[in-house]
Amino acid sequence: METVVLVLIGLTALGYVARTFWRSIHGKPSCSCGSCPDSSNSCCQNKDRQ
Amino acid sequence: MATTALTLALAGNPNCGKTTIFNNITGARQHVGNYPGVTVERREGSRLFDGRNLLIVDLPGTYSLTAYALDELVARNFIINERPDVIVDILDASNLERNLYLAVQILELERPVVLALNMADVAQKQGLQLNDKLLEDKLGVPVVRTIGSSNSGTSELLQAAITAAEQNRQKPFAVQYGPEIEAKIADIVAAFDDVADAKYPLRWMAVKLLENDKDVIEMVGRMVKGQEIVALAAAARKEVSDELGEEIEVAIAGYRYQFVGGLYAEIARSDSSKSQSISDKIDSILTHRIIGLPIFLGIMWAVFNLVFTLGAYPQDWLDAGFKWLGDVLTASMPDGDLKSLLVDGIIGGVGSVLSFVPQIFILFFAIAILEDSGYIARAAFLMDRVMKAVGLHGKSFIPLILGFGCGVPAMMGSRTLENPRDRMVTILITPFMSCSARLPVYTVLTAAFFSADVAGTVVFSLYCLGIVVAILLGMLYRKTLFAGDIEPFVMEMPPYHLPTLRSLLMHMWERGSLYLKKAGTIILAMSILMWFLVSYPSEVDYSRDYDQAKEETQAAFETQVGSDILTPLGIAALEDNPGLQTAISQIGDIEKEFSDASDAGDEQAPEKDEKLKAVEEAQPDVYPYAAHYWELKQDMDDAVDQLDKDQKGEKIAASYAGRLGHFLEPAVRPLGFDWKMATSLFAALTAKEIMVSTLGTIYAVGADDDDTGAVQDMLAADPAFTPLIAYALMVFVLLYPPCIAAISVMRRETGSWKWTGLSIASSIAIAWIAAFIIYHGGKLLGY
Repeated sequence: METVVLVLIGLTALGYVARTFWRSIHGKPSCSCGSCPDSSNSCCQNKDRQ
Repeated sequence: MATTALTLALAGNPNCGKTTIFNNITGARQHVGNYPGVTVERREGSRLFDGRNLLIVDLPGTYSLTAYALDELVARNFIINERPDVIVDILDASNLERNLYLAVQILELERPVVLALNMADVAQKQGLQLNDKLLEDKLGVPVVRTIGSSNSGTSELLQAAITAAEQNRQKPFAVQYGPEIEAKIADIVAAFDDVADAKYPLRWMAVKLLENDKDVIEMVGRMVKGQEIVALAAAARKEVSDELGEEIEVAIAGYRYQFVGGLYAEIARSDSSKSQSISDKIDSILTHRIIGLPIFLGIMWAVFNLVFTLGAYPQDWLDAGFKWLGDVLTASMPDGDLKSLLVDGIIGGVGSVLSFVPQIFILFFAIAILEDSGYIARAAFLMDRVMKAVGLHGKSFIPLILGFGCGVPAMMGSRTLENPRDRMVTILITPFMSCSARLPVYTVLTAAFFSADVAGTVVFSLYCLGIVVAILLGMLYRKTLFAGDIEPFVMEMPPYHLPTLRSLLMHMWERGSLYLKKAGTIILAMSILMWFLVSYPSEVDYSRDYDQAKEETQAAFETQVGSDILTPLGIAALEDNPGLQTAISQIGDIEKEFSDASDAGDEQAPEKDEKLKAVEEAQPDVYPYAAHYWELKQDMDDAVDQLDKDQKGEKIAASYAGRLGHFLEPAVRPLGFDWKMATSLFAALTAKEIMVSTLGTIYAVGADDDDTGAVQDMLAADPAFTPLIAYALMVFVLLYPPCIAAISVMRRETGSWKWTGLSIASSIAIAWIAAFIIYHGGKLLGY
């Protein structure tokens, strides 16, 4: 059981890091919201407006 | 209820308070700063007001609609191409004359416009009396007074904007450009009469063609018969320029300024006794030619010292809290990998990063004070002389200062630079500015190897080194890859404001919360991965049989006890002499008590001696044997501890992380770094804080269960480190490539992997050379 939990945690962490790298390298070029990605209806939330 | 959708564009000069009004309308918390160029791309927010669904678009500040810089282009393209229902032009009432220049150009577009006289309170304090009604009559558009900082006049502004949008009045507005230019405008307008698809006011397009506006020339050129009109405009431009003896753009701008000047003279009355504002008086000291720069450096030095001295207390509390949490988990969970992952991986890794939250928040609070007060713009002005001397633009210094917070918005901030060469150079040198993510690395290493008195100065020296390297590299780029003339530095000095506590806390939180978010996401994920890499493979071929070695040590101890204690006393076991057993137990208690006190930094040797003497007086016959037994036991414990450490050291060295570190070690060995430092430097390419969490995980896995503590304490106990190596390591962290997020933004902003690759390669080379010089130079000097 402990092994299963460890494997799941490890795979989740690996997946998250891989996703972060992938999005950094292949992210859309136009929408960079800097330090304020959560403002209402900002371009980062409103992807179709990019 | 049915709603109408309207789009409101907020336009205006840089630093006129657009984003504050945007935040007031939408309830958003976009970053606001008291310097130009905070908004470099358009931002959108929505608001339901008076039954209308409003889409508010906050545009970057622009001085005119003839765009030169990228941020100005964003604003202009939106106004011209996307045709919002109403343009709300925010005017800084305290600098009205200059702000009216843009207003006049917006009015020439003949779109519904509302003017907001913002910062009306500042204008009043300056003794400026403005006649809003007259301004309304002269320009033919509604004028509303607003005070962004106190959210005053926002509803009236929205109401006026909705009315203007719904009336959709497209009232002609014309500035008179003198007989020569007006004649040419009339010719071009007449030529447009044959063109069916003109979407913009004909007079406006004619003026833009005469101004040699490339975008408009291209647009008109695509129209039917457009090329003929472009040719006509080109001929007219040459003719008028020859006639007037100056470029036609300059002449047009002159007429606009003349119009604006006349308008301003009619609507404004100034109390001359208040002509030298408080800002001017402060500036006479802070931007002084001689003492201005030392004051700036002094302020920066004070900020870093404040970060360290003030941040040390809450950091200790957080360290203690994480240690307590680790102890609780250690005591309550069965031994195993899951417990090790939680205690060594997550608490050891993420906890070590989170304990620096106080320093990060204090740094952001201090930066917020500099920003909100208006000092950042002065810093750019002060640095202009230095920057210009090495071929850089003074305005580059604002993105560079923003780089102290985070390289991502800093590189985006370079969009305020008009010249593409300046912009490219600024993007390429921004990563050398020490971002806040590096601060935990400096804090850990300075806390471990430098006294608290010099910690702030050590970190200040790193920040200065970053600036120096950035400027020198910028100079090199400017003389080689991006050679060209330096453009004059024109930047508005915003008036000083006394920042409000709410605004400072908001700015501190909006940046600091990102650090917390990173700790809970990428740093957590990397700490988990590092734990796996440090803990596996679990089966290791050791260089010796450690279990057998421990048994042999135990056996040697028992033999020694037999020959030195049991035989002389004529007993077979310690239990046979109750007095001896009691004395051993009492000495053990005293040793433990004073060992704990010694860990806490207390020196109580005389008191310990007194207690031991009391035991000796109570049991004079057996005391020497009991004391000797204790010495032998301590020797044995030390030997077993050493074997444990060696075994764990071999296990970590054989782990996947160890193998990676040993693979990288030859590259950094000349800098005095070992495999652990190499591994953590590699992992920190994801985010710089991960260096601390990686070191925390490596040392926590490698330590005994009762021997874990703050990562700085574990580093201080490692003989692989010296203060010199620690400083060389900090310099390497400062100069080597930025995190993946910053690299990604660099690629976007430069539009090429070529320049990004150049930046990465050059920063690795510079970091290596600088660390090499510091390490070997320091050794030569005897450090």
